[in-house]
Amino acid sequence: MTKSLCIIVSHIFRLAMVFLFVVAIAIDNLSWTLICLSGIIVSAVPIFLKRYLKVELPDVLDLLITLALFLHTGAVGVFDNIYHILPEFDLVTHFASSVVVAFIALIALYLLDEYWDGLHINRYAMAFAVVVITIACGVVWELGEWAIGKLWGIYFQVDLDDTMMDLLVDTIGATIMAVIGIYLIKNGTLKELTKGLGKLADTHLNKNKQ
Amino acid sequence: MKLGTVVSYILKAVIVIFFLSAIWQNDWIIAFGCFAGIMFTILLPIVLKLKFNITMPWILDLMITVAFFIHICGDVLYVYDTIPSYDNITHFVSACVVALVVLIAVYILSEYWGGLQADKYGTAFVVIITTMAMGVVWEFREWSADAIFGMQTQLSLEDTMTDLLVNALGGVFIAIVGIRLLKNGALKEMTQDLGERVDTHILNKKKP
Repeated sequence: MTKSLCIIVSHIFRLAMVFLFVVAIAIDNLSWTLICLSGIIVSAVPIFLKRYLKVELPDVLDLLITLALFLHTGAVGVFDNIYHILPEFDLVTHFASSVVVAFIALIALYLLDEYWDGLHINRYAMAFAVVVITIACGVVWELGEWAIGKLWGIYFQVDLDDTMMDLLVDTIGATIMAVIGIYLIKNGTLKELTKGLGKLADTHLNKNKQ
Repeated sequence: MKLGTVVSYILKAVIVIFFLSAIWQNDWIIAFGCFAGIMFTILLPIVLKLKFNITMPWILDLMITVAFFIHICGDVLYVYDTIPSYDNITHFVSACVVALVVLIAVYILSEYWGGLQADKYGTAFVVIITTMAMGVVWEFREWSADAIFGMQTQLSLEDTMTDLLVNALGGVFIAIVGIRLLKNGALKEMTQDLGERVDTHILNKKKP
């Protein structure tokens, strides 16, 4: 996908979230409305980063984030309220978010490897790290859901099978992203994607030396 | 001789005594557990020493022995039945063993392999996340064993989540210990023998 197309598609997802936000208000579903609102706010973060802090996220990452948010906020409501197949759909959202988390981990590791003295890691070790980081994030997520259930009695976890499926989907998403990551590093695409971020990382990480 | 080594020898001796008494009493489940313990805590270090000339880092040897010992004790003395949270203790110690293996592996790779160089905080981070991921792999194993063979290893969601939490805590604990060991050079000393072996036999085999 070309650069501009990614941006356009991610804007379409933002608009779709706004549309579903209106739908949620129209059918008078408070929780869905709030979820949509939070999705819209978080999806605006990359735009703010770019405009005010001069942090340019890779366009593909921007697209992935908005896609995952769209699935998590807007589409969850559609599948919950209209089709009533939330547990199955939940796997799709888990997959999308695990790909996003894995991609962020990949970019972070790549930047640290390139611009920081404290870490040197070759691409296969990086792929391994991406997978374990994403699985660990999945565990943190599930522990968070569990803790919320314990503390406030809001139960997100359906049952053991559901939780294990979530973790399995996380693992699959992470593995796919890691394999893609190896490929992206090999043909230099990742370097190109993270050019803007790389400059930023360089100035911040090597501040003390200059 | 280090205190850790002495403790390790005593625990190994107790495992052997448990093994013999289990055979005496025809308790084959406990005997099998003890047998696995003997394989890993006694035979494995001997084989590594004789065949590959690798001395196991004493702390790892001690941790593996402790892990097997408390697990076997749980079975022999019916502690699993009398103390409900005993399962968490065994899980914690096993997580510590996994974390320690990861710590040593990352350290050796970092020292002797060109593909990875991590500072001590990076190493601690890798120790935590890899241990957590291994915990998930373990739960997958239990889950699929239940699904395929109809076993009952994963009791409930509650139980599984506690396992994962305890597992993460074990990883964090060893990561904190690891930072200390890296700072005062104890880890370097402990893994010197192993590191050189790995270096000459595996990592730089092709080089003259």
